[in-house]
Amino acid sequence: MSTFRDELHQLCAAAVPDVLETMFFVNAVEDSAPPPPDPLVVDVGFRGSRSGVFTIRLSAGVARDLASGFLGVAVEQVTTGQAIETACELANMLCGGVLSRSETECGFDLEAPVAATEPYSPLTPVVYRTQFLLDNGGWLELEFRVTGGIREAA
Amino acid sequence: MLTDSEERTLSVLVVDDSPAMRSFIRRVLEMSGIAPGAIREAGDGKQALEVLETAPVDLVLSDINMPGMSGSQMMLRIASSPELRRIPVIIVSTDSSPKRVKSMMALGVRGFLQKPFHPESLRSVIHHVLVAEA
Repeated sequence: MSTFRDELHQLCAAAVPDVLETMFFVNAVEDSAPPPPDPLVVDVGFRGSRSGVFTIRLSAGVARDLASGFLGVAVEQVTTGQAIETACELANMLCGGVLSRSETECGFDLEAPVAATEPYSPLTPVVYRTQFLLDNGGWLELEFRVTGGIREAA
Repeated sequence: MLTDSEERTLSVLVVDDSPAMRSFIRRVLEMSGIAPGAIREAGDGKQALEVLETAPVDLVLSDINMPGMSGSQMMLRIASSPELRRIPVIIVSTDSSPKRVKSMMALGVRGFLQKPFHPESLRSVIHHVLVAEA
């Protein structure tokens, strides 16, 4: 029997490379890696048939590289603000990319992405966590926490 | 059929709470030769309505999920205005579920583009919508 975790594994494997290759011009493969020290963390709350929080973690250097490709700016010209804004949009599209493959009928709502202050939240159990290695040598971690509250999206 | 020169003179309003996404769309539009120098930006539906009331806009590209006034709320206001509802709106969103698309089309949205999207897809949906409007 397929579990929600299995479903998320399949959805992330499809959605993450799609988002990164299409809009950030970076290839990504699912792989394990040690977490970077002092990562940039972005949370996105979601509501659909399931509700919860989606989180990404990446190094500041990876955020700058991704912002460079996304904004068409030389990496040395990317500001910290642009790197954070781009990481927020990446989190938004990754969460949306996964949920759009899952919530195919009733849709979903996403909250505005928020740069988090704590690298790992102790509040809610993690349902699924995975990591992707990027072809620029960077590393990206994703996780889903489900807080329940099943409802139909507006 | 719209000519390239007609597309180049378009005034486009990009509505998204993400400054990064607004910059991305602006860059795609400029690289596509659409509306160079005539691209306005708004961070939510309320700001977009303020722009629409004060500046000439030929086309709106809008997200749905935005803090403040959402894309759906903005479309309700546009649909209720005889002046504004003539302006074609294309939704650019991560959520393209049938229910979402149906509800937005019922509000008068002319086109829908799901994120992530290839730059050429944006130009294609704009061209498709403008040809239908012509």
